[in-house]
Amino acid sequence: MRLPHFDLRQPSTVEEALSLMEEFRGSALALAGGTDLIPLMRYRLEVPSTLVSLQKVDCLKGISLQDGRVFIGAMTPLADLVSSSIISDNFPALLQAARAVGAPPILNLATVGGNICQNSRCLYYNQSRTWRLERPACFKAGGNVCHAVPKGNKCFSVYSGDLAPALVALDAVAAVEKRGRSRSVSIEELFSGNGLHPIALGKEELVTGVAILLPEKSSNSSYMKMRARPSIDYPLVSAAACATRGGNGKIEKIRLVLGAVGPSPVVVGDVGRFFEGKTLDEVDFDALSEIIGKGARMVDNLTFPGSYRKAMLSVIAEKAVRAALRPGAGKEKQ
Amino acid sequence: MDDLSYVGRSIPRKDGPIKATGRAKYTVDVTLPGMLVGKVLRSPHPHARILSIDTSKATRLPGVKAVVTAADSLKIKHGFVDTPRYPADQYPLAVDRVRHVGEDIAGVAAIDEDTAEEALSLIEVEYEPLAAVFDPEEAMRPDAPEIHPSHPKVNEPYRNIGGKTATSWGDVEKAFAESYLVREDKFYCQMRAHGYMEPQATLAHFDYSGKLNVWTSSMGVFLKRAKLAKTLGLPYGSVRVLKTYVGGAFGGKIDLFHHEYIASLLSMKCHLPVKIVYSREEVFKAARPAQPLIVQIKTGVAKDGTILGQEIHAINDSGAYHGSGVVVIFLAWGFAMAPYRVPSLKYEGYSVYTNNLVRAPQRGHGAPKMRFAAESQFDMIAEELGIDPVEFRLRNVRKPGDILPNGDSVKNFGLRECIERVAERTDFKNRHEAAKRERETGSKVKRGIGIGTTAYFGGSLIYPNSSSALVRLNDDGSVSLLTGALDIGQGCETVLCQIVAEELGVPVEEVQIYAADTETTPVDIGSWISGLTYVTGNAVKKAAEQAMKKLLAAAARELGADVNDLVARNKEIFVSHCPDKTISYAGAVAASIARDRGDSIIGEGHFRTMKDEPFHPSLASTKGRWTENYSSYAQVAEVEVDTETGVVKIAKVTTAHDCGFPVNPALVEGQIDGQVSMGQGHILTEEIRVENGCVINPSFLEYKIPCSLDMVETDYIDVITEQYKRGHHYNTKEVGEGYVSGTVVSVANAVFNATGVRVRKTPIHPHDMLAALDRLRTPKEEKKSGRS
Repeated sequence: MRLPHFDLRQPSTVEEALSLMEEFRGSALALAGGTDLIPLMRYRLEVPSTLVSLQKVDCLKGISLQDGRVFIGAMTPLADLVSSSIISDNFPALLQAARAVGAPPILNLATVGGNICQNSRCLYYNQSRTWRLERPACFKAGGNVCHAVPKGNKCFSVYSGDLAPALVALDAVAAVEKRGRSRSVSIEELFSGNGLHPIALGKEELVTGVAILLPEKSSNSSYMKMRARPSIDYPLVSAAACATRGGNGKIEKIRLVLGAVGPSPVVVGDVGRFFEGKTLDEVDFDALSEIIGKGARMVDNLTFPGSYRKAMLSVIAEKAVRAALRPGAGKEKQ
Repeated sequence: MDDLSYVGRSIPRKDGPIKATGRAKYTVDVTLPGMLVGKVLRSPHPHARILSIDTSKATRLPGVKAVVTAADSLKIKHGFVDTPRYPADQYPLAVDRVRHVGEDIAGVAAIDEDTAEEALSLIEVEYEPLAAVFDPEEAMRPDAPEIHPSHPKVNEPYRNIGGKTATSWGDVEKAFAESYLVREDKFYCQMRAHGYMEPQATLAHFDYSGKLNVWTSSMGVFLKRAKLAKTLGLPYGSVRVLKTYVGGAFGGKIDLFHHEYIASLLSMKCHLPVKIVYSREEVFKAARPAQPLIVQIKTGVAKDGTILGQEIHAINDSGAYHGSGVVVIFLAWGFAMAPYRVPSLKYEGYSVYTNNLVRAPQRGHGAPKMRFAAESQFDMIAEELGIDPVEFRLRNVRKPGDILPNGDSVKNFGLRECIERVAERTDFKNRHEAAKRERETGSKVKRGIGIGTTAYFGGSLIYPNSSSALVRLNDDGSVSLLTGALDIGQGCETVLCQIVAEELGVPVEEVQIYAADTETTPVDIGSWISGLTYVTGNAVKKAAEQAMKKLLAAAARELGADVNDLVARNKEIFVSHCPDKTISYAGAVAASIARDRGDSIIGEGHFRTMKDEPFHPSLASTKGRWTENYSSYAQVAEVEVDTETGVVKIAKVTTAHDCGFPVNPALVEGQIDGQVSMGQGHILTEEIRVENGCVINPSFLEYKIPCSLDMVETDYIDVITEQYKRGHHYNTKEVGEGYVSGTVVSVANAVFNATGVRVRKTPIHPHDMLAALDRLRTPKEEKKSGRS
């Protein structure tokens, strides 16, 4: 499948990139590693007239530690994340999430910003134009039906990024810029909750990087992903957990985030009562499983049925929590 | 065993370096000046009448050089089978009706891909949609939509019956009456893709001399020539199919594929080269998937586990046309009766038309499905009788020399030894018992072990039935082999060169091979029906032998020695009792030319199997012999089942194999590993998902073929039942297809051993596994559903 025609712009500074995004507002898309966007263009799910490639904006690449905060440039390849000691020393969840994205050829190309800002997915949406023309257009493709839920009245596409759940668990913040203005938003707020346009960014805006506060010494994190094949597949469900223990070894606080549930990562609310002041052995996971994924509408639009994926949420969440609370855990090196 | 220098050794592949360095030319890499891009317009409907096709706008589009529809064709039908009972039933371009989504309507050739795509969108087709049916059992009902009339010789009141195989021996009813235990079970298989990495691709050039030159990704050039010549109305001599490297086929590139016909017809219309390369989506939607099979099997056994009788009812969903459906219902019978003694059997197989894609054979062609049913049931019976699965098999396995109901002999059949040795290597009995005990413990991950077996034919009679080869000595004493064999990745060029090297005493790297060109190489059976090493290998051997004989005759005369006293080694011939008297091969060739009126040294060889059988066996009645050499295997799989997620993992597969004389042991092991992976995909992850006849996962992202990180640890046990002796032909047996079955079955049985869940449907989806585990915990619900 060939790519549609497009103009390629290759700015070398952020300012230049932001100007181009403003100039071609609405008709341009930013190109990072391309592992998400290029297949979408081949399928004609995206047909931007201009691509603003960020490959030559060198200042967007790299991982640095400053004043207790780690800053990761948006164009940092996932492979660099995986090999960074700053990441492995401090954010096991992020390391595990990056590794879980796919095999080395994908990690070499895919970037942090691109992975976060990837579009949501559906078995009936991520298909070629020829395939889609054989049936009415779905909500996400601009039509007014849902092929996964025949009587559905909205888009059930699933946000399938691996980094975002981990970053949300780690309370990370994204730097969002447009020409003349920059803002900081939590990763959680980057998501609209709407399957049609899952990423809440203006058309002229770019995510330029991610900042994460260094964790407290007694804290640890983990990311667990369920999928059919380890070398390539998107998550069927995933979970990230970030836990802090008090001096007495008891759990002080925990943040639990689910991935591949719906159009955005889901923070499991009100989990304190299950964990706080307890040791791992005292945690009632059966009770926890009652609230996990409650209210999530998971439908048959990925490899395995929605009911199965929903049932797996509590399994994967427990694994993530246990990994984050594993005795002696805290550092994970490759 | 004679002292062998080249055969029986793991010689590195001849095509290894060129492939590893990316220099091998596959069809997509072949380019010709002025070459056009061809594209195919396909039906979006599973079943419809074509009311009109208007190509005028497409034809007028600048850059379009040719547009073809059925109106440009001779409307000659073709079929995988084309016999009086099963005449060809498929037009290469739809004439007035389409019967599956993706059926070919028109072809365009244009100067580039975008123009060709645009031209497709300008073709206007008016359809009248018809009622469609996708489930074979529904399609058999008298009120189902009719896709084709039922076969005239099928008397049952079923609709859409494309073909039937029926056979029986012994008194099955009596056997069941006398049985201690009779079980009846039903097993289902999914639709699978072949998963060849190289998509279907064809370059066709009809030149101004009136010759059609075709480069195409295939499994054998002579069958392609025959089918193209027939459908295009050309004499065989006007169609030349040439060699390209092939990136895998696994059964999925036999037969005529319509892009091959369409590229040829487009080129005949515009006299320019036309290349069609399928996208992966087209491979899934328009090339042919593998044959699914529903098997209902009833088995009666004595108290000690001896099989007394079997009744088997198989239903094949052949898709919209015959494809290989009428063959798979015949083969399934053979896979039921070959490995074990079945004293009485009643077999009925139906091939049923549906509005699904047409199917092609896939590695094992019915064997994985039939063995899955038979040997899952073996274990169920063994469990009920309290007999170990290995014991049950040993009680019923065929003995060497057993004569099968069709007259075949299993000759030096190694299945008993395979079963015994694989059981011993894996400590099967103890671990099987231990896993049963551990099933009840609290562990979330259950471990189990299971066994599966197969017997498989090799080199059956199907067009072109035989292989010929030429071996030519060059003036410098080096050797050229001319063979019609096409290496599709299995390494046949290496194996054939090993045979020449051995027979002629020439270093294997000095044997040049010229292969797979219908114009310049002799006819060949093709890389299918598991016959290449046996049939072509022995043709090559005979050719090499004949060349050697001529060479030695020339040398004997030149040396003044008796030909029986000559020894040839490393391109030198010397007299055994007088090693100083020598002549080089080059010298002997020169002598032959000088003394024998210019005769250079060329040997020819021909080989076919079952010389007394005029034709292939009857697809209807199974009468007639099938093969003269049955391979056999026993495989043991070790699995882990995560009872929280329902995910099954294969920890290890151990294979004991009787593949006859292994010409290249490393290639045998490569075949085993490839098939373990293919079996793994079959039993665990792969499934073509279809909704209303349309494939909804037409990509390698959503079709879950195992990847490198999913590969299973393997171990091999060689059970060598055949040795090669000089002067005799090579008794090789099949090695490229059978292991898929053993892997599928052994995993299914291991899952039962681990969990108590009996798999009746492949693949084992984790959600089905969880549901089955739940049913086990609440036994009363289990009875509601027949499938796990």
